Amino acid sequence: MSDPMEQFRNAFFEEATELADGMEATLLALDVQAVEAEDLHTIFRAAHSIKGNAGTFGFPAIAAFTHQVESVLDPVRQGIRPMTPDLLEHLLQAVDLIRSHLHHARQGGPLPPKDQQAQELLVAWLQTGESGPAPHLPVAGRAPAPPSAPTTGFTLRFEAPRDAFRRGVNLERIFRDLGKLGTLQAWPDAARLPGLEGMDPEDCHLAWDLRLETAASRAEVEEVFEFVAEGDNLQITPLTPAGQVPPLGEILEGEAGVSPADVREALAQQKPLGELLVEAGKVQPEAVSRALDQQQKKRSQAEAATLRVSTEKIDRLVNLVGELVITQAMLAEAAQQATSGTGEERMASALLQLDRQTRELQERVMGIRMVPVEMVFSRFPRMVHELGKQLGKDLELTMEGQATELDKTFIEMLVDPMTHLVRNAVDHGIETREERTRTGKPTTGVIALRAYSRGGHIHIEVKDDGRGLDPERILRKAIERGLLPPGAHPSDEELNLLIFEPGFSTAEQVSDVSGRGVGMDVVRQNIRTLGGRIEVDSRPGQGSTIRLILPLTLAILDGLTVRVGEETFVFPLASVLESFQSRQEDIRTVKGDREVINLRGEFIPVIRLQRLLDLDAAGSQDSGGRPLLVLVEAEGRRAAMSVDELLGQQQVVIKSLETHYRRVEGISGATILGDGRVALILDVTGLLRMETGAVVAQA
Amino acid sequence: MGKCILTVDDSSTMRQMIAFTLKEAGFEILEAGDGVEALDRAKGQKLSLVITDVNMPRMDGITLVQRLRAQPEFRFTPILVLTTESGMDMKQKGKEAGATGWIVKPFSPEKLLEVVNKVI
Repeated sequence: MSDPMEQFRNAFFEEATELADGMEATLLALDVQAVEAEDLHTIFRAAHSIKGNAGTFGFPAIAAFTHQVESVLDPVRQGIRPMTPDLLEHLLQAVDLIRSHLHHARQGGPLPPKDQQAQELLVAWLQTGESGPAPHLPVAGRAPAPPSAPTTGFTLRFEAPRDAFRRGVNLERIFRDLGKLGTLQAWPDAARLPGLEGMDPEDCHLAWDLRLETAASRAEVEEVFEFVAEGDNLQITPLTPAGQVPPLGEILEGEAGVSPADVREALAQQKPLGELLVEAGKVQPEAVSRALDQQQKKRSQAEAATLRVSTEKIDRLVNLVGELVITQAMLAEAAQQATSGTGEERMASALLQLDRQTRELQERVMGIRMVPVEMVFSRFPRMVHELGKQLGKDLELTMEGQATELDKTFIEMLVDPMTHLVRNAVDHGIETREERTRTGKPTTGVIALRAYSRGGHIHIEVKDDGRGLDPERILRKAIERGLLPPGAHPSDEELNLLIFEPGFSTAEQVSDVSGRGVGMDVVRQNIRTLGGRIEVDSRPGQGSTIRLILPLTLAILDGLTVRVGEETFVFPLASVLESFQSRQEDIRTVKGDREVINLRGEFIPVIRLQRLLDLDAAGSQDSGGRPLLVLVEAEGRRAAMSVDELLGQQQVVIKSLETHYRRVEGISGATILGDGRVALILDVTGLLRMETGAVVAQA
Repeated sequence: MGKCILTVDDSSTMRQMIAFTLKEAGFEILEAGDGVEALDRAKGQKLSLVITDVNMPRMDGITLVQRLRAQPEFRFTPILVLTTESGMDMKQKGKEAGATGWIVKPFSPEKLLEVVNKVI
C-alpha cells in the first residue's frame, strides 16, 4: 500500500477487466440482424473508458490499441458502418487482445510477439474491412503508437446539455477553445427549441453542427467538451484524410456552406435494420423484445461481478487479523525460549490459538460471500404490483426472513426460479376478484415469501392463498403427456411435483405473464444444480406453498446456546418460542412415562433432551426439581425441551455434520463456538419425530 | 480588479496549493475549510468561480453546490468539484447537483490552470 499510484493501477486493471468482460458479454448478446444502438454505445463506452484510464495510469500501448478499437466502433454506433458477423468476430478478438494487454501489463511485461502480430492483423482488418468506410485511421506502423498523425479535421454535432446554463457552463468558451485548434465553421441548430408554452428560459436547447479543420487529435477535441459531453450528445466524425475522395456532402459543407443537418436529413431516409425487418414482416416485434430481455439479463449478469460487503464483516476480518498478529508475536517469543519447558508450553498454547484463528478467518472470509436473501426478495414488491395491475388482481405481498443469509452464487441462481414461481403464483394461483368473492375469500390475494434456515438447510417459500393445485387435472394431463402410465395412482405429493416435469406446462397455461422465460422444469433444474429440492404443499381452494430447500454447508443461523449434561447445543432461534423455569407440579406424567406440561392451560409434551440424546445426566442439578424448559415449535407442533442451562444467544456458522462425519438423527449440523468448542445444532423437527417414534415404539 | 475564486477544502495543504497557483495567475482567492464556512464566505461576494472538494466535514461539496445553486447570485457561477476518482460516478453526482465541471485529484498546477481557464 506504499505507492498510491500502485493502488490506482490495481483498480485500473480490475475495472478494465470488468469493462472488457462487459464488452464481450454485450458483443455475444448482439443480434447482428437487429443491432440495438444502446448496445453499441455500451461497447463503445467500455473501449473509451479503458482507453482513457490506460492513458492516465501510464499504459500507452493499451491506450493506443483501445483507441483503434474505439475509432472503429464510433462510426458503427453512429450507424455509418454496419455491424456484420465478421466485424463482430473481429471485435471479440479485440476484446481478447485487450485482456492479453491487461494481463501482461499487470505482470509488468510487454505484449508477447504472437499477440502483437495478431493485433497488427486485427487493426489492419478493422480499418479496411470490406464493409467499412474508407480507412480514416492512420495505419499504425509496426509499433502501436497512438494514431495522432494526419487528420485533416472533424465534423462535429454538439447538443448542449439542457442544464448547461444552470450549471454555469460557459458555452462561448467552448467555441473559443475549439477555434484555437484550427479553422471552425458552425451552424447553429434551433430545431430542438420547444414551443413557447413549453419553454423554460433557463433550459438550454441549443445545438450546433461544426466543421473543424485541424491537425489536432480527436482526444484534444474531446477534451474541449469534457464538461458538457454526456453519452451521445457529442458526435465527432473525422473528415476524409487528404489524398482520398470525400463524400459529396462533406464537400458541400466545406465549400458551399450547406448545413450538416440538411445533409443528414437527406441521407437519413433509411431506418434502422431491425425496424425495417419488422416492417417487412421478416421478424416479429416480440422476437425483438425477447432478444432485448435476454440482453438485459446478460447485462445484469455482467453487473453482478462485484460484491458489496457490509463494513461489519470487514471490521471482523480486520479484528481477526489483529489477533493473528498477536499470536504470531507470541509464537516468535515462544520459539526463542523453545528449549525451556515454559517455551514449549507457550508454543503449544499459541499454536492452539493460531489454529482457532485460522479456522475463524477461513469462515469469515467464506462469510463475505454470504448475502441476505433480501437481495432476491427486494425485486418482488415491484413485480407483484405490476403483475396485479396487468392481470387486474388485488394482491398483497408479505415477506419474512429477508435477513437469512445465502451464498452469493445461490442468490444469483435463485433469481430466475423465484421470479417464475412468483409469476406463476400470481397468474395461476390467485383467482380473479370475482372468483374470490364467489368462494367467500377476501378479494385481495396474498403472496407470501419466506426464508428461514432449518435442519441445516435454507428454506425459501413462495406461498399463495389462491385456488391451489388441482390433482385431478394434473393426473389427467400427466397421463395425456405420458408422464404417468394410465391407471396410475400417485400420492398427492408425487402428483404435485409433476408440475416441475419438462413439458408439463400446457398451452392453456401459457399467458403473457407466466408463459415467458423459464418454465417450471427450469426451476427444478436450477434448484437441483444447487443441490436442493422442491416441496409442494397444496390444498385445493386454499392455496399452495412451494418450498425450495437448499442444502448449505455454510450458512449463518441465529441460535440459542444451551447446556445439556456436559455438552453444548444450539437451538435455531427461529424454532424457539420461549424458555422458562417450570414448576415440578405443572409437569404430569401420562401414558406411562410420557410427560406433559400445563402451560397457560395448554398441555404440551415435555422432551427430556438428556434422555432423548442419551447423555450422561451429570451436572443436571435441576432435572428433578425445577427443570429449565425451552418451548419450541416445528411444523406446527410444539414441545418443551428440558435443558440444564441457557448459555446465550448468538449467530453461529452452520457446518454440515454429514460431510465431516455422518448424518445424526435430531442433529442438523455443528458449529464452532467462540471459545473453540464444538456445539451441535439441534434439528427440532427431527427431535420431535424421534420423540414420536420413541413413544410409538413404547406403545 | 482581479477575478475572485473561492476555494473550499478541508485539507489546508490542498487549499494552499490551489491558492498559490491561482494567485500566481492573477486571481484573488478566498478560502474555506468546509461547506458551511464556504457559504458564509460567499455571502455578498461576487465570485467568478468556486472550487470545492467533495469529502469535507460539516457540509460536503455536493451539498455546497446545491446550496449555492439555490441562491440567486450564484445560480450561474461556474463551480468545479475536486474528485479523487476518475470514475463517472462522482462527476455525475456533481453534475446533477449543478457543478460546471471537475478536476480529478491528483492534479498538477498546470492542469488546475487549464481547467480553470476552461470555465471562466
